[in-house]
Amino acid sequence: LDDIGVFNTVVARAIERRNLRKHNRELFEQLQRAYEELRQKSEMLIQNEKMSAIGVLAAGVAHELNNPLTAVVGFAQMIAEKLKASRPANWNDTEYERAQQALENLVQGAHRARDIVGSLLRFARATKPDARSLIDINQTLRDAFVFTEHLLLRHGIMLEKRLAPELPPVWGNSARLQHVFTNLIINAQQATPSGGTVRVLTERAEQPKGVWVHVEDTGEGIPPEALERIFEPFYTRKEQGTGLGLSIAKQIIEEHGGEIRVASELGKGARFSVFLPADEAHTIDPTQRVRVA
Amino acid sequence: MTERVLIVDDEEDLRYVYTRQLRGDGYLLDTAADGEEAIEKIRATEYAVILTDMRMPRKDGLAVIAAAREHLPDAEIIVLTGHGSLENALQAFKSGNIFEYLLKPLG
Repeated sequence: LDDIGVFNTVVARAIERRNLRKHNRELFEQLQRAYEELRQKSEMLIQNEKMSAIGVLAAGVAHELNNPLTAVVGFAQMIAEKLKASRPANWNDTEYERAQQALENLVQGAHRARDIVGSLLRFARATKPDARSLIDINQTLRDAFVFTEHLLLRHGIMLEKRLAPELPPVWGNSARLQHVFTNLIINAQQATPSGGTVRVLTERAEQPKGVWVHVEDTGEGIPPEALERIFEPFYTRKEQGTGLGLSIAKQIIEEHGGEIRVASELGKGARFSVFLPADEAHTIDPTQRVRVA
Repeated sequence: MTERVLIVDDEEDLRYVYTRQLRGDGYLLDTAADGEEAIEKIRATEYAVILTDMRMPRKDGLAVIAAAREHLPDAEIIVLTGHGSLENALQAFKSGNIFEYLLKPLG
Protein backbone atom coordinates (compact mmCIF):
# COMPACT_ATOMS: atom_id res chain seq x y z
CA LEU A 1 0.00 0.00 0.00
CA ASP A 2 1.45 3.31 -1.08
CA ASP A 3 -0.94 5.53 0.77
CA ILE A 4 -2.17 4.78 4.26
CA GLY A 5 -5.24 6.90 3.43
CA VAL A 6 -6.51 3.95 1.37
CA PHE A 7 -6.77 2.12 4.65
CA ASN A 8 -9.57 4.47 5.74
CA THR A 9 -11.38 4.03 2.44
CA VAL A 10 -11.22 0.25 2.66
CA VAL A 11 -12.65 0.24 6.18
CA ALA A 12 -15.37 2.72 5.19
CA ARG A 13 -16.39 0.53 2.23
CA ALA A 14 -16.40 -2.55 4.42
CA ILE A 15 -18.73 -0.78 6.85
CA GLU A 16 -20.98 0.24 3.97
CA ARG A 17 -21.22 -3.28 2.59
CA ARG A 18 -21.82 -4.74 6.03
CA ASN A 19 -24.64 -2.29 6.73
CA LEU A 20 -26.25 -3.03 3.39
CA ARG A 21 -26.06 -6.74 3.99
CA LYS A 22 -27.48 -6.38 7.47
CA HIS A 23 -30.29 -4.20 6.16
CA ASN A 24 -31.04 -6.75 3.42
CA ARG A 25 -31.18 -9.57 5.88
CA GLU A 26 -33.52 -7.65 8.14
CA LEU A 27 -35.75 -6.84 5.18
CA PHE A 28 -35.73 -10.47 4.16
CA GLU A 29 -36.73 -11.54 7.65
CA GLN A 30 -39.51 -8.95 7.72
CA LEU A 31 -40.70 -10.23 4.38
CA GLN A 32 -40.73 -13.79 5.64
CA ARG A 33 -42.72 -12.80 8.69
CA ALA A 34 -45.18 -10.82 6.57
CA TYR A 35 -45.52 -13.74 4.20
CA GLU A 36 -46.22 -16.16 7.02
CA GLU A 37 -48.80 -13.78 8.49
CA LEU A 38 -50.41 -13.39 5.09
CA ARG A 39 -50.55 -17.13 4.60
CA GLN A 40 -52.31 -17.58 7.93
CA LYS A 41 -54.72 -14.74 7.19
CA SER A 42 -55.55 -16.15 3.77
CA GLU A 43 -56.27 -19.58 5.23
CA MET A 44 -58.62 -17.92 7.67
CA LEU A 45 -60.24 -15.91 4.90
CA ILE A 46 -60.86 -19.08 2.94
CA GLN A 47 -62.42 -20.59 6.02
CA ASN A 48 -64.61 -17.51 6.50
CA GLU A 49 -65.51 -17.61 2.84
CA LYS A 50 -66.65 -21.19 3.24
CA MET A 51 -68.74 -20.13 6.20
CA SER A 52 -70.41 -17.38 4.14
CA ALA A 53 -71.09 -19.85 1.33
CA ILE A 54 -72.71 -22.19 3.84
CA GLY A 55 -74.70 -19.22 5.10
CA VAL A 56 -76.05 -18.42 1.65
CA LEU A 57 -76.89 -22.06 1.11
CA ALA A 58 -78.57 -22.26 4.50
CA ALA A 59 -80.66 -19.17 3.77
CA GLY A 60 -81.74 -20.66 0.43
CA VAL A 61 -82.67 -23.97 1.99
CA ALA A 62 -84.49 -22.28 4.84
CA HIS A 63 -86.58 -20.11 2.54
CA GLU A 64 -87.38 -23.02 0.26
CA LEU A 65 -88.45 -25.15 3.23
CA ASN A 66 -90.53 -22.49 4.93
CA ASN A 67 -93.32 -22.36 2.33
CA PRO A 68 -94.03 -26.10 2.14
CA LEU A 69 -93.71 -26.30 5.93
CA THR A 70 -96.33 -23.60 6.38
CA ALA A 71 -98.59 -25.52 4.03
CA VAL A 72 -97.98 -28.78 5.92
CA VAL A 73 -98.80 -27.20 9.29
CA GLY A 74 -101.83 -25.34 7.89
CA PHE A 75 -103.36 -28.36 6.14
CA ALA A 76 -102.62 -30.68 9.04
CA GLN A 77 -104.42 -28.31 11.40
CA MET A 78 -107.31 -28.02 8.97
CA ILE A 79 -107.66 -31.79 8.73
CA ALA A 80 -107.29 -32.11 12.51
CA GLU A 81 -110.19 -29.69 13.04
CA LYS A 82 -112.34 -31.53 10.51
CA LEU A 83 -111.58 -34.87 12.12
CA LYS A 84 -112.28 -33.50 15.58
CA ALA A 85 -115.70 -32.29 14.43
CA SER A 86 -116.81 -35.64 13.08
CA ARG A 87 -115.50 -39.15 12.67
CA PRO A 88 -115.64 -40.40 9.06
CA ALA A 89 -118.39 -43.00 8.75
CA ASN A 90 -116.17 -45.84 7.56
CA TRP A 91 -113.54 -45.49 10.40
CA ASN A 92 -113.69 -47.41 13.66
CA ASP A 93 -112.62 -45.87 17.00
CA THR A 94 -109.04 -47.21 16.85
CA GLU A 95 -108.48 -45.91 13.35
CA TYR A 96 -110.00 -42.57 14.31
CA GLU A 97 -107.73 -42.17 17.38
CA ARG A 98 -104.66 -43.33 15.53
CA ALA A 99 -105.30 -40.83 12.73
CA GLN A 100 -105.73 -37.99 15.21
CA GLN A 101 -102.53 -38.97 17.03
CA ALA A 102 -100.69 -39.19 13.73
CA LEU A 103 -101.84 -35.70 12.80
CA GLU A 104 -100.63 -34.35 16.12
CA ASN A 105 -97.24 -35.97 15.56
CA LEU A 106 -97.17 -34.49 12.09
CA VAL A 107 -97.80 -30.99 13.42
CA GLN A 108 -95.18 -31.44 16.13
CA GLY A 109 -92.67 -32.68 13.57
CA ALA A 110 -93.42 -29.73 11.34
CA HIS A 111 -92.92 -27.34 14.27
CA ARG A 112 -89.61 -28.94 15.04
CA ALA A 113 -88.61 -28.57 11.40
CA ARG A 114 -89.69 -24.92 11.56
CA ASP A 115 -87.42 -24.38 14.60
CA ILE A 116 -84.51 -25.90 12.72
CA VAL A 117 -85.22 -23.65 9.75
CA GLY A 118 -85.29 -20.74 12.20
CA SER A 119 -81.85 -21.71 13.47
CA LEU A 120 -80.60 -21.97 9.90
CA LEU A 121 -81.99 -18.56 9.06
CA ARG A 122 -80.44 -16.91 12.10
CA PHE A 123 -77.16 -18.52 11.17
CA ALA A 124 -77.44 -17.41 7.55
CA ARG A 125 -78.41 -13.85 8.40
CA ALA A 126 -75.35 -13.39 10.53
CA THR A 127 -72.78 -15.01 8.24
CA LYS A 128 -71.94 -11.65 6.70
CA PRO A 129 -68.62 -11.07 8.44
CA ASP A 130 -69.56 -7.72 9.95
CA ALA A 131 -73.24 -8.27 10.69
CA ARG A 132 -73.68 -7.57 14.38
CA SER A 133 -76.74 -7.49 16.58
CA LEU A 134 -77.76 -7.94 20.18
CA ILE A 135 -77.44 -11.60 20.98
CA ASP A 136 -78.83 -13.85 23.63
CA ILE A 137 -75.94 -16.28 24.04
CA ASN A 138 -78.30 -19.00 25.28
CA GLN A 139 -80.19 -18.76 21.97
CA THR A 140 -76.92 -18.93 20.03
CA LEU A 141 -76.05 -22.06 22.00
CA ARG A 142 -79.48 -23.61 21.38
CA ASP A 143 -78.88 -23.02 17.67
CA ALA A 144 -75.49 -24.69 18.00
CA PHE A 145 -77.17 -27.64 19.75
CA VAL A 146 -79.52 -28.08 16.77
CA PHE A 147 -76.49 -28.74 14.59
CA THR A 148 -74.49 -30.86 17.03
CA GLU A 149 -76.82 -32.81 19.29
CA HIS A 150 -77.49 -35.60 16.77
CA LEU A 151 -73.73 -36.03 16.33
CA LEU A 152 -73.23 -36.56 20.05
CA LEU A 153 -76.19 -38.93 20.30
CA ARG A 154 -74.83 -40.97 17.42
CA HIS A 155 -71.55 -41.38 19.34
CA GLY A 156 -73.32 -42.35 22.55
CA ILE A 157 -72.42 -39.10 24.30
CA MET A 158 -74.80 -37.14 26.47
CA LEU A 159 -75.13 -33.41 25.95
CA GLU A 160 -75.80 -31.74 29.26
CA LYS A 161 -77.04 -28.17 29.01
CA ARG A 162 -76.99 -25.86 31.99
CA LEU A 163 -77.97 -22.48 30.64
CA ALA A 164 -78.25 -19.74 33.23
CA PRO A 165 -81.38 -17.59 32.86
CA GLU A 166 -81.28 -13.83 32.35
CA LEU A 167 -77.90 -13.47 30.73
CA PRO A 168 -76.96 -9.94 29.70
CA PRO A 169 -77.09 -9.50 25.92
CA VAL A 170 -73.87 -9.50 23.93
CA TRP A 171 -73.24 -7.30 20.89
CA GLY A 172 -71.86 -9.49 18.16
CA ASN A 173 -72.15 -11.72 15.15
CA SER A 174 -74.30 -14.68 16.19
CA ALA A 175 -73.27 -16.92 13.27
CA ARG A 176 -69.61 -16.47 14.02
CA LEU A 177 -70.18 -17.10 17.71
CA GLN A 178 -72.35 -20.09 16.87
CA HIS A 179 -69.46 -21.30 14.73
CA VAL A 180 -67.16 -21.04 17.77
CA PHE A 181 -69.54 -22.95 20.05
CA THR A 182 -70.27 -25.58 17.39
CA ASN A 183 -66.55 -26.05 17.01
CA LEU A 184 -65.99 -26.39 20.76
CA ILE A 185 -68.84 -28.90 21.08
CA ILE A 186 -67.58 -30.98 18.13
CA ASN A 187 -64.04 -30.92 19.58
CA ALA A 188 -65.45 -32.05 22.93
CA GLN A 189 -67.37 -34.84 21.18
CA GLN A 190 -64.23 -36.01 19.41
CA ALA A 191 -62.30 -36.10 22.68
CA THR A 192 -64.97 -38.03 24.55
CA PRO A 193 -65.40 -41.80 24.40
CA SER A 194 -68.85 -43.36 24.07
CA GLY A 195 -70.81 -43.17 27.33
CA GLY A 196 -69.20 -39.86 28.26
CA THR A 197 -70.76 -36.46 28.73
CA VAL A 198 -70.26 -33.10 27.11
CA ARG A 199 -71.47 -30.30 29.33
CA VAL A 200 -72.28 -26.78 28.19
CA LEU A 201 -72.75 -24.17 30.90
CA THR A 202 -73.46 -20.48 30.81
CA GLU A 203 -73.07 -18.02 33.65
CA ARG A 204 -73.30 -14.32 34.28
CA ALA A 205 -70.14 -12.44 35.02
CA GLU A 206 -70.22 -9.22 37.01
CA GLN A 207 -66.65 -7.89 37.05
CA PRO A 208 -66.42 -7.12 34.18
CA LYS A 209 -70.03 -7.59 33.10
CA GLY A 210 -70.51 -10.33 30.60
CA VAL A 211 -71.21 -13.97 29.92
CA TRP A 212 -69.11 -17.07 30.46
CA VAL A 213 -69.70 -20.14 28.32
CA HIS A 214 -67.96 -23.34 29.37
CA VAL A 215 -67.73 -26.45 27.21
CA GLU A 216 -66.50 -29.43 29.22
CA ASP A 217 -65.80 -32.97 28.20
CA THR A 218 -64.94 -36.16 30.04
CA GLY A 219 -62.30 -37.19 27.51
CA GLU A 220 -58.64 -37.99 27.84
CA GLY A 221 -57.57 -34.42 28.52
CA ILE A 222 -54.85 -32.35 26.87
CA PRO A 223 -51.15 -32.64 27.80
CA PRO A 224 -49.54 -29.42 29.13
CA GLU A 225 -47.25 -28.94 26.10
CA ALA A 226 -50.29 -29.05 23.79
CA LEU A 227 -52.25 -26.65 26.03
CA GLU A 228 -49.65 -23.97 25.40
CA ARG A 229 -49.96 -24.20 21.64
CA ILE A 230 -53.59 -25.17 21.22
CA PHE A 231 -54.75 -21.76 19.90
CA GLU A 232 -51.84 -21.39 17.44
CA PRO A 233 -52.79 -21.53 13.77
CA PHE A 234 -51.97 -24.87 12.09
CA TYR A 235 -51.34 -26.57 15.41
CA THR A 236 -53.37 -29.76 15.50
CA ARG A 237 -53.44 -33.06 17.37
CA LYS A 238 -55.93 -34.67 15.00
CA GLU A 239 -54.82 -36.66 12.00
CA GLN A 240 -57.27 -34.93 9.69
CA GLY A 241 -57.18 -31.58 11.48
CA THR A 242 -56.25 -28.30 9.83
CA GLY A 243 -55.22 -26.69 13.10
CA LEU A 244 -57.43 -23.75 12.28
CA GLY A 245 -60.60 -24.40 14.29
CA LEU A 246 -59.38 -23.11 17.64
CA SER A 247 -57.22 -20.34 16.20
CA ILE A 248 -60.25 -19.03 14.29
CA ALA A 249 -62.34 -19.43 17.45
CA LYS A 250 -59.81 -17.31 19.34
CA GLN A 251 -59.80 -14.73 16.57
CA ILE A 252 -63.61 -14.50 16.58
CA ILE A 253 -63.82 -14.23 20.37
CA GLU A 254 -61.16 -11.52 20.40
CA GLU A 255 -63.01 -9.64 17.66
CA HIS A 256 -65.87 -9.55 20.16
CA GLY A 257 -63.64 -8.13 22.88
CA GLY A 258 -63.75 -11.44 24.74
CA GLU A 259 -61.29 -14.15 25.62
CA ILE A 260 -61.00 -17.90 25.36
CA ARG A 261 -59.20 -20.14 27.83
CA VAL A 262 -58.53 -23.79 28.23
CA ALA A 263 -57.90 -25.92 31.28
CA SER A 264 -57.33 -29.64 31.37
CA GLU A 265 -56.27 -32.46 33.59
CA LEU A 266 -54.92 -35.55 31.87
CA GLY A 267 -57.35 -38.43 32.07
CA LYS A 268 -60.17 -36.27 33.36
CA GLY A 269 -61.16 -34.10 30.43
CA ALA A 270 -60.88 -30.54 29.27
CA ARG A 271 -62.77 -27.32 29.76
CA PHE A 272 -62.87 -24.48 27.25
CA SER A 273 -64.17 -21.22 28.64
CA VAL A 274 -65.28 -18.27 26.57
CA PHE A 275 -65.90 -14.85 28.05
CA LEU A 276 -67.93 -12.30 26.12
CA PRO A 277 -68.41 -8.78 27.46
CA ALA A 278 -71.98 -7.59 28.01
CA ASP A 279 -73.21 -5.06 25.52
CA GLU A 280 -73.37 -1.56 26.96
CA ALA A 281 -73.92 0.89 24.13
CA HIS A 282 -76.74 -0.86 22.31
CA THR A 283 -78.84 -2.04 25.24
CA ILE A 284 -79.44 1.45 26.52
CA ASP A 285 -80.52 2.99 23.23
CA PRO A 286 -83.62 1.22 21.87
CA THR A 287 -83.43 2.99 18.48
CA GLN A 288 -80.12 1.27 17.84
CA ARG A 289 -81.76 -2.02 18.44
CA VAL A 290 -84.38 -1.24 15.80
CA ARG A 291 -81.74 -0.13 13.34
CA VAL A 292 -79.70 -3.30 13.55
CA ALA A 293 -82.60 -5.74 13.74
CA MET B 1 -25.68 3.92 15.10
CA THR B 2 -21.94 4.01 15.59
CA GLU B 3 -20.22 0.97 14.08
CA ARG B 4 -17.71 -0.96 16.09
CA VAL B 5 -14.42 -1.93 14.52
CA LEU B 6 -12.08 -4.54 16.01
CA ILE B 7 -8.37 -4.35 15.25
CA VAL B 8 -6.47 -7.58 15.86
CA ASP B 9 -2.65 -7.57 15.73
CA ASP B 10 0.01 -8.92 18.06
CA GLU B 11 2.27 -5.92 17.47
CA GLU B 12 1.47 -3.04 19.73
CA ASP B 13 2.98 -0.46 17.36
CA LEU B 14 0.77 -1.59 14.55
CA ARG B 15 -2.35 -1.54 16.72
CA TYR B 16 -1.37 2.01 17.59
CA VAL B 17 -0.90 3.01 13.92
CA TYR B 18 -4.21 1.52 12.80
CA THR B 19 -6.08 3.03 15.70
CA ARG B 20 -4.63 6.47 15.14
CA GLN B 21 -5.38 6.25 11.44
CA LEU B 22 -9.06 5.41 11.98
CA ARG B 23 -9.61 7.60 15.01
CA GLY B 24 -11.15 10.47 13.07
CA ASP B 25 -13.64 8.36 11.09
CA GLY B 26 -16.31 8.10 13.77
CA TYR B 27 -16.15 4.40 14.67
CA LEU B 28 -15.93 2.80 18.08
CA LEU B 29 -12.48 1.25 17.97
CA ASP B 30 -11.46 -1.80 19.91
CA THR B 31 -8.23 -3.84 19.84
CA ALA B 32 -7.09 -7.36 20.60
CA ALA B 33 -3.45 -8.49 20.95
CA ASP B 34 -3.96 -12.08 19.78
CA GLY B 35 -6.51 -14.50 18.33
CA GLU B 36 -7.74 -15.72 21.67
CA GLU B 37 -8.56 -12.23 22.94
CA ALA B 38 -10.16 -11.36 19.59
CA ILE B 39 -12.44 -14.40 19.70
CA GLU B 40 -13.54 -13.55 23.23
CA LYS B 41 -14.46 -10.05 22.09
CA ILE B 42 -16.21 -11.30 18.96
CA ARG B 43 -18.41 -13.50 21.11
CA ALA B 44 -19.47 -10.57 23.27
CA THR B 45 -19.75 -7.60 20.90
CA GLU B 46 -21.37 -6.86 17.59
CA TYR B 47 -18.53 -5.58 15.39
CA ALA B 48 -19.28 -4.27 11.92
CA VAL B 49 -15.72 -4.77 10.69
CA ILE B 50 -12.85 -6.90 11.93
CA LEU B 51 -9.31 -6.10 10.80
CA THR B 52 -7.08 -9.04 11.57
CA ASP B 53 -3.49 -10.09 11.22
CA MET B 54 -2.94 -13.72 10.20
CA ARG B 55 0.13 -14.81 12.16
CA MET B 56 -0.42 -14.39 15.87
CA PRO B 57 0.39 -16.26 19.07
CA ARG B 58 -2.34 -18.33 20.67
CA LYS B 59 -5.18 -18.50 18.07
CA ASP B 60 -4.25 -17.25 14.57
CA GLY B 61 -6.15 -15.16 12.02
CA LEU B 62 -7.96 -18.18 10.55
CA ALA B 63 -9.47 -18.93 13.95
CA VAL B 64 -10.54 -15.29 14.26
CA ILE B 65 -12.21 -15.44 10.84
CA ALA B 66 -13.99 -18.67 11.75
CA ALA B 67 -15.29 -17.16 15.01
CA ALA B 68 -16.48 -14.05 13.19
CA ARG B 69 -18.31 -16.19 10.60
CA GLU B 70 -20.02 -18.06 13.39
CA HIS B 71 -21.00 -15.20 15.70
CA LEU B 72 -21.21 -12.16 13.42
CA PRO B 73 -22.60 -13.24 10.07
CA ASP B 74 -22.97 -9.65 8.91
CA ALA B 75 -19.46 -8.49 9.82
CA GLU B 76 -16.91 -7.71 7.10
CA ILE B 77 -13.39 -9.03 7.51
CA ILE B 78 -10.26 -7.27 6.34
CA VAL B 79 -7.07 -9.32 6.43
CA LEU B 80 -3.76 -7.55 7.16
CA THR B 81 -0.68 -9.59 6.57
CA GLY B 82 3.07 -9.33 6.06
CA HIS B 83 4.84 -10.46 2.87
CA GLY B 84 6.04 -13.61 4.52
CA SER B 85 2.67 -15.22 4.95
CA LEU B 86 1.10 -15.26 1.50
CA GLU B 87 0.17 -18.88 1.87
CA ASN B 88 -1.68 -18.11 5.04
CA ALA B 89 -3.48 -15.24 3.37
CA LEU B 90 -4.52 -17.53 0.54
CA GLN B 91 -6.06 -19.83 3.11
CA ALA B 92 -7.92 -16.89 4.56
CA PHE B 93 -9.35 -16.09 1.15
CA LYS B 94 -10.41 -19.68 0.70
CA SER B 95 -12.21 -19.62 4.05
CA GLY B 96 -14.64 -17.29 2.32
CA ASN B 97 -15.88 -13.81 1.84
CA ILE B 98 -12.95 -11.67 2.92
CA PHE B 99 -13.71 -8.04 2.13
CA GLU B 100 -10.14 -6.94 1.45
CA TYR B 101 -6.63 -8.20 1.75
CA LEU B 102 -4.07 -5.58 2.74
CA LEU B 103 -0.33 -6.16 2.65
CA LYS B 104 1.89 -4.85 5.40
CA PRO B 105 3.58 -2.54 5.71
CA LEU B 106 0.87 -0.01 5.10
CA GLY B 107 1.76 3.44 3.80
